[in-house]
Amino acid sequence: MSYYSFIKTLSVVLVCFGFSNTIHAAIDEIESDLVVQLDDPHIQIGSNFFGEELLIFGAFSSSDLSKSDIIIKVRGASKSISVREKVKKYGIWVNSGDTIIDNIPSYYAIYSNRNIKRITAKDFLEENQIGLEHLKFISNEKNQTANIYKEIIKKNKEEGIFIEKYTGVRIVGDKLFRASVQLPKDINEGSYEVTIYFFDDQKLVDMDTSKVFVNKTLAGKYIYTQAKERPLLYGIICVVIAWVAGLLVAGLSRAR
Amino acid sequence: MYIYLPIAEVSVNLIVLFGMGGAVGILSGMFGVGGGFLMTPLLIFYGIPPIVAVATEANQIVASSISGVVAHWRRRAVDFKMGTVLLIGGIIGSFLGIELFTLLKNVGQIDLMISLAYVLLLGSIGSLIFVEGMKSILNKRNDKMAHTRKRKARTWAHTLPLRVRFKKSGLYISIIPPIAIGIFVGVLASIMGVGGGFIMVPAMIYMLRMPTNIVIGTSLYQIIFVTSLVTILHAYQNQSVDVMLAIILMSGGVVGAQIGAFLGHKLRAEQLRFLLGVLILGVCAKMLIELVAEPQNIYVIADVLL
Repeated sequence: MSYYSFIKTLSVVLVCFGFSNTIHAAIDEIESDLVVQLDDPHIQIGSNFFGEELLIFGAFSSSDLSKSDIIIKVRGASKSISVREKVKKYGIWVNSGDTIIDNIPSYYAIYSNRNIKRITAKDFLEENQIGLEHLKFISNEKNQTANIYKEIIKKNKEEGIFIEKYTGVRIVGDKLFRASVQLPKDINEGSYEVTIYFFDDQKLVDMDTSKVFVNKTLAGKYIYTQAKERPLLYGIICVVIAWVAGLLVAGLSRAR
Repeated sequence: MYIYLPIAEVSVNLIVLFGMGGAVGILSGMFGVGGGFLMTPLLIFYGIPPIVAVATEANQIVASSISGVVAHWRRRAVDFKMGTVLLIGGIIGSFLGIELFTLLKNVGQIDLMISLAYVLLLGSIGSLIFVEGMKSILNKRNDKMAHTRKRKARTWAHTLPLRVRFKKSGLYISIIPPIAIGIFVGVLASIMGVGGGFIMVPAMIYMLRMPTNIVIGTSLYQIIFVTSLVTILHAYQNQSVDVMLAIILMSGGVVGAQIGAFLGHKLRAEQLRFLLGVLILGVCAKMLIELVAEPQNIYVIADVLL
């Protein structure tokens, strides 16, 4: 199918980032430069999209390789979800009232070269929401949210929307790193934030944030736009297609 | 082979969906039911969001009903006058149903209400058809009883005002009951993603006393227009019709319906009714088990739609 090759032949745009701190402290910190290249800042979903890898690679320089660590965080736009607990009433399972939970990432991945708890202090991880257990959800309900949060994380992990991979970043040689971040097949359109943290001896020495855009391509995008922007016309076209399909088949069977 | 559905926003296996469309299409052609009462739950089980499943299934039923009705029309098995009266009711019902759908969606209970509605309707109608089908099969074997069954009973449809002659059906009845049936079916079409044939067919047989052989064609005729309207209303109000999904289901369903109409012609009416009863009870039982059995996930997590 041509869609597949379309995805694969997307223009690969290499992005090089300059860092203010490397300029300011060029002499002292020249040893901890971090140059990152995103394989594909524009991911497009074709008609047979089923998972795509986002290749992130870059170079760093460090005085002591054994003390260098990299954490990559990819986060999609936040969304709100409603959670309803099923309760047994009159012999059947019914939904109870809902709890709205905000600030749920539509996609969240942590890739690192080893367990993030050993890379840096817990305070830092919490503050930057690194790691599934440090995600900060917001709820209108005060109590009993711990179980719900656990359930949300479990469900999203199963669906490949939340990923935590402590062996996901490979350090190649003494100054290169790479990670292929797995995007789910049902990924939402939008902008995804990629943050790369570079640690030396448990201290953050450099970080970079950039965006990756996921677009729906060709037919998919067109259909989506038409459905949202011209709903009446879209509905009529759907019906016309159905009429034509039905009559066509009826006509074919008459000819037979 | 996977394909991405733009409105449902999921990737699905093309072969599986095509097969589902085909299997349900065969039933649709055999029984004159749109097959929506099977297809909608199947789509939801497969991971299509319920509101997309309902709206898209309505769209698919349009296609399968058209190819079905042509086969019946050629055999002159459609009462257009009766169909149009049923349709007037259907249009009123569709608008009411869409409003109800939106209301239920907003209070977050639409899934439960749909399940309960399925269990209730399929349970009562399935058993009715099943019992009647059994009876007529037994009666066929007993000539004396078959004779007494032949006499047409007068129902309240024959005594209400606004009576009209339906030549094709050989009836002189009030238009109030067919319009009421149409309204009910229109509501079901918009909130459950069904054509409503499984309600309309028995209602036409038992309430209106229409001849069995023209009931299926006539109900398909009404379903075409009601589901067309429902598709447009859903597309307009909820933007939940996935044309890509509809086309896949249509391709499978339209082919299946042709095979089904052929099979339906070969089998005798009472056998058909008996089979339909068994099928409806089967779906009902499955829905009931889902409601009663301990759920796998105690929490239902859904995106908040803005």
